[in-house]
Formats: sequence, C-alpha cells, structure tokens
Amino acid sequence: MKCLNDLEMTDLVSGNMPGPETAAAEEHLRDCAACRAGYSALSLAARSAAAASPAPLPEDFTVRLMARIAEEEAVHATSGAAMSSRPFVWKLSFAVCALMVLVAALLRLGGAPDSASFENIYLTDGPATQIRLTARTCSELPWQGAGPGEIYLSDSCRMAGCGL
Amino acid sequence: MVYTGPLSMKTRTLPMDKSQAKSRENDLAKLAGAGDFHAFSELAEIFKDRLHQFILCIIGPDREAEDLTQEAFIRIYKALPSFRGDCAFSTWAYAVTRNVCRGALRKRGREADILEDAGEERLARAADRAPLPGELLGRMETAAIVRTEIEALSPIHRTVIFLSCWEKLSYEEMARALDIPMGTVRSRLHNALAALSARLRKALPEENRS
Repeated sequence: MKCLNDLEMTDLVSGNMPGPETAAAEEHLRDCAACRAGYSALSLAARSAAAASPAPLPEDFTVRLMARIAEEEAVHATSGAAMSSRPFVWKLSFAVCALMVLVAALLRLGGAPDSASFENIYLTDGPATQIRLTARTCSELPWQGAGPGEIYLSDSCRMAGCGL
Repeated sequence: MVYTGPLSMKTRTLPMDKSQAKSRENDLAKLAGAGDFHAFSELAEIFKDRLHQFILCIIGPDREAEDLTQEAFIRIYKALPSFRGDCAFSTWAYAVTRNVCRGALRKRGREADILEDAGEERLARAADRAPLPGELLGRMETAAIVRTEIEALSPIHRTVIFLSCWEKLSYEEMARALDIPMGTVRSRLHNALAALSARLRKALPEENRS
C-alpha cells in the first residue's frame, strides 16, 4: 500500500475508514515511519480531545428547563383554548349577521306603508279639469270614501258622486 | 404540571454501547414528541452537557451559553413532533442547536459565518493565539491544558473536533448536523486535528504526549 495522504490519515484516526482499508492502512503504518509519525500526531490530538469532558451545567439545569417548558405549555394551552373557541365566535357572528340580513329582506318584501306603490286612477268621462290630489290616505282626502293612492278626478266624476 | 426531576435516571447508569444508546435516545425522542414530558426530561438530562459543550464550541466561552442551551432545548421540544427518526436524535438535536447559535450570533451582530467555509481560514488565523506561558502550563493538569488548547482553536475546528472525537459522529452525521458536504467535514476535521496537534506539541510536556 502507498503512503496515506492527509485525508486518509484523518479517516483512519476518526474511525471513518472502511474495515478492509483500515487493516491495510494499519499494516502500512507498521512499515512506514513517516506515516506513523503523522498518524501519531493526529491520533494524540483526537485522543486528547476525546478525554476532555464537556463543561458541566449546574445540577438543577434540567429541573429549571422543565419548569420553563411547563410554564410555556400552560400559556400555550390557555391561548390554545382561546383559539379553539374562536370558530364558535365566528359562527355566532355569522349567524347574527345572516339573521339581520334576513330580517331586513323580509321587511323590504313586506313593504312599509309609506313605500307602497300608488295606484293612479283616472276617471275622465269627458273634457274636464283634472284635480290632482296629493293626499296619500283616505283620511287626508277632502271627501269621504277615497281609497289610497294618487287620484285624479274630473269635475264630472265628482258630480256623479261615484263614491270617491 | 409539576416537574420533580427525571424519573428513570437509572437507565443511564447501565452500560450501553453506542448503537443501544442512540436507539434509546431515538425512542425517548419519539415518546417526547408524542407529549411524554418525562421522556423529554430524560433526554434533557442526557444531552444537557453535550449541547452546552457544542454551543461553547460555536460561540466560545460565554456566560450566555447556559441560556442558549435552554433555548436550544425549548426549540428542540417544540420541533420534536417533526422529528421523523430517520437519523440519530443527537444529529438532529445538534442541527437544531446550531441554528439557535446562528440566530444568537446574528442578534448580537456577530458574524454568523463562523460556521461557513468562507470564514474558516480567517477565523483559524485569528484564533491561532500564542500558547500560554510555559510556567503557567506547568501547573495545569493535562486535561486542563488540552481544554485550553481546544478553546484556542477556531469555532469551526472546535466544533468538528467535538462532534468527531467526543461525540463520535460519523462524517455523514456531522455533515447533517452542520449542514455541510461530507467532503468539507473530512477536510475540516483534518485541519482541526492538525491545528490541535501542533498546539499540543508546544503546550504538553514531552512525557504527556503518549
């Protein structure tokens, strides 16, 4: 086997070299002083780093962490409940709006007295001077028996006493 | 909900090989993702020092490292339902933690490219401080010397050394955790080990180098 390059040396030191290649590399190291020196240097660094234990956190770290998570969960649960009730509020609002539109539509269809269409009655049995009555209800008419609406009466009609 | 501490501490005292430990961690992660509060507390107990160390590797010695560790765990807790289990939990947790660190560095206005390729050479040069005076090192334990020399490396080098040498992650797992190609992991690890080796050669007494 030829000498190991830097990356192959790193593969070997870090345990990332495939098994068969590792065996061949180790055999080569026994015979090659230059490769052995390179391997020893990297290996020392790797072993030293492996032996240096991580800086420990305080003993109560996990307890404090879990307390904070529980606290955040509680807040989340509260806001989650509000979120889950929101669709009901939306549905209720929609129902109220729909009801209001329906009532408005019904009122419009039923018609208010003032907005009713007026009948135009023309009673003309000959040349006459039309009298335009602007009264809209019977009670406003100057004579009895008149129906609602805009009414045009001629003099002859009035004299005939048709009842209006 | 009242939390009184991890319930199944004894499970960690049993000797487990690496694959058993990873399998156990993934099982706990799935339980925690399904809402098991105590499973998550056990995960936190297992990973707290490891994530803290990973954060220290990225941001360097920092008083806020503990707060960031807590932030990382909270981010992990929230993201757990999305953990599919197609990689080791540790790999996934390191990836989440790395993003937390990036966010923190951005907030502070520090360069978040300390984990990017472009910054490697520059930061390696900047971090290449002179070894501590010999008489001071003479009084320090070997482990303390090693820790000091690791701290003097660049964040990129510290991170790959931690993940490879201490966490024993494979190239593939490191690539996932750091979101970089495997070839980059390989070359970074070589550069990091070579840099640490050079520093230790100067700092460690001859008899402690075996």
